[in-house]
Amino acid sequence: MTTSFQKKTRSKVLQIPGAKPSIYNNQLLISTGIPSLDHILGGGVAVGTILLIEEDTYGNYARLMLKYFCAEAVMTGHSLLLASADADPEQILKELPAPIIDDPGKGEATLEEPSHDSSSDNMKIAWRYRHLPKFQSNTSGVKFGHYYDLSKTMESELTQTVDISTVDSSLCACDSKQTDGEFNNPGYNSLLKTIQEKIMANGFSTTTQVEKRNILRLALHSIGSPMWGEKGGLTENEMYSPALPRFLVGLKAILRTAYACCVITVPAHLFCDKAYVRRLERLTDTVVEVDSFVGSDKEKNPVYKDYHGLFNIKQLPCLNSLVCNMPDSLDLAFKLRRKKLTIEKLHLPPDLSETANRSQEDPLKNLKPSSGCGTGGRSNKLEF
Amino acid sequence: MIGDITEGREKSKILLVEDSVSQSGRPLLISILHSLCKRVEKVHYICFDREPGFVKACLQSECSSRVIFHDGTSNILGWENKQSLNVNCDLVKYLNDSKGHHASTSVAIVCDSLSPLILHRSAPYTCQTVTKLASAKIQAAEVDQVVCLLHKDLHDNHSINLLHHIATTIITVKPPKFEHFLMATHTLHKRLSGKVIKLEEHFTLNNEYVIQDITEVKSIDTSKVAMETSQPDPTANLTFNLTLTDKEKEARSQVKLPYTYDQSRQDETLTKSVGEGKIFYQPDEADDFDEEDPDDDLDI
Repeated sequence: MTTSFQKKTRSKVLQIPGAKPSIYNNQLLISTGIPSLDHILGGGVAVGTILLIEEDTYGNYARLMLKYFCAEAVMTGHSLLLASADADPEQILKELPAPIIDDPGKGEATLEEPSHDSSSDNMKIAWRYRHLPKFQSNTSGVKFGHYYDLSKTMESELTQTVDISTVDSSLCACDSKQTDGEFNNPGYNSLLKTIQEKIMANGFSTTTQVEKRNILRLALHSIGSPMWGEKGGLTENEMYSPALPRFLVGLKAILRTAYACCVITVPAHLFCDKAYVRRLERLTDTVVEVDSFVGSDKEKNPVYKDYHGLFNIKQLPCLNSLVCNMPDSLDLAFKLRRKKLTIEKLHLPPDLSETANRSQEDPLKNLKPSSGCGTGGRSNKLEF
Repeated sequence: MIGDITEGREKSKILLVEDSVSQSGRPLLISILHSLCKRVEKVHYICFDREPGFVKACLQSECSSRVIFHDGTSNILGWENKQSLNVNCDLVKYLNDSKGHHASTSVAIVCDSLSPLILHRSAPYTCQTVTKLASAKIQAAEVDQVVCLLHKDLHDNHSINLLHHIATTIITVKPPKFEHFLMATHTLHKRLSGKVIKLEEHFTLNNEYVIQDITEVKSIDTSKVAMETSQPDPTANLTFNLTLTDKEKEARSQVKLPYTYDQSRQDETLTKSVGEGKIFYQPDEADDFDEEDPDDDLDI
């Protein structure tokens, strides 16, 4: 007698260069080009999803992250579609950082070791902690994602090895007077159309059968900036503009049925209202915010002297699961070295000053005059 | 800093001069125009605010030959004649078609002011136009710099923010705090390297519109002052000695305190793995426990 029982077999995951299945939900992941960011996001960005980066005020670090994403496309052989209205996309491609073939993590480790030893000798009282591993939140030694050297640019021969198409500002040369209809922005429309055509023509759709699967990386720079004809998310008569949310819905729908992954940077500080930004966040999958210290008071604050900015995770996707992957800590900061952009747990340096305000102490306590047997103020009835 | 920017020592592609009704920015604009004349071959001056004669009267004679004026004031909305300069023109196309043909290597564009453009068209359109001008080629010549005047009290904050986003340098003109200065400025300069510089300065202009007597006004950083004053030295005024000399410190470090383990004992403790404590129990006779009669040992 035969049964209808079938043993559950793990569905076979596609083998695509530069992509790996997630250990949490078996989604196909690709690297953002920043290994520490991959680690925080649970291994990488899932194919078919959108990663939204809310730009810092001057946009430098967000653009750098987008460059890493593009450089990773070159290194893994993925196709790339780069759109930018603010900067010339060809110029961005010329300025991609050069890859570092040997792992810089190793070199740094050997450098750190002697100082580590000498510090352990000095431990007189807390010597029991000597053998505990030094804290490191970013994992190293994973062969997924590359490191890049910012001081050098990638050779153009290397860039030409992969299929790259660009979309520049000529596409969105638009004026509010010439928009067709009230809701849509012609720039977004034609960008969506370009993406759709690219996916169809090069066989990135899940429905088409191709011999060798590849992944399309979409890098959209500064969507929603005035160069796309956007006035801080407002229409002419000061209503919320539905153009950008509509674009995101359309983009998400296209991506869900394609072997494609999108990184968008958005100048969130230009939008009129936080609620509008929240609306955009809800329409994308992963949302991170880059909050650089450049030009702000925090730049001079000694508390933040080791970092270049704060890194806020605003939303993580729940893909094929009820919960999202939760990183160890949400207090994150980034620092930029010549060979590495690292995102790590924000550690405040110990406050060594004598007048340091501890949160559990009453800061006003010191102001009260004290006598030998109790406070002079008689705030407590039990005191005599 | 303001000198570096106006003289072109500090590169800036899009320079925005903001003024308000309390302090006009046009003197500064004319000063920048003079220094532009020394740096580039031709300067296109687009007038949307005041008629060209108004600025022409202020120009030095050696500069006036280099400045090409485009009058947009007489027909600003394009009601009379579609060909002359008005707010509906595509500025790049207009400048390329303009009559003053010149074979020069570098040009600069001054727009006096952007406000009609923002009011009659829109802020995003203005941003697009300004960036297009900055990257365009005017009659086969590279655009060195675009300088724009903006009356910021005429517009809402969103529009101003959008223009700040595209500008590489923003000079906000304010009335001076001290009488012997002509004006005060707040400068925000975004360097290509990503560094951002903010400065408050006071200066005067001489008869040739050259900036003089630049004085930087340093804002008092309250947080820093608080940090410095909060560290009084408790050992300063004491009748007895609380400080240690180096020799005394060394002697102190030699003292073996009861809780310090010596090296071998530290190593021994560290090599033992954590959580492996053992209880050694040797039962003695008094512990002889009878299950049948638990109260056997009680002497009642």
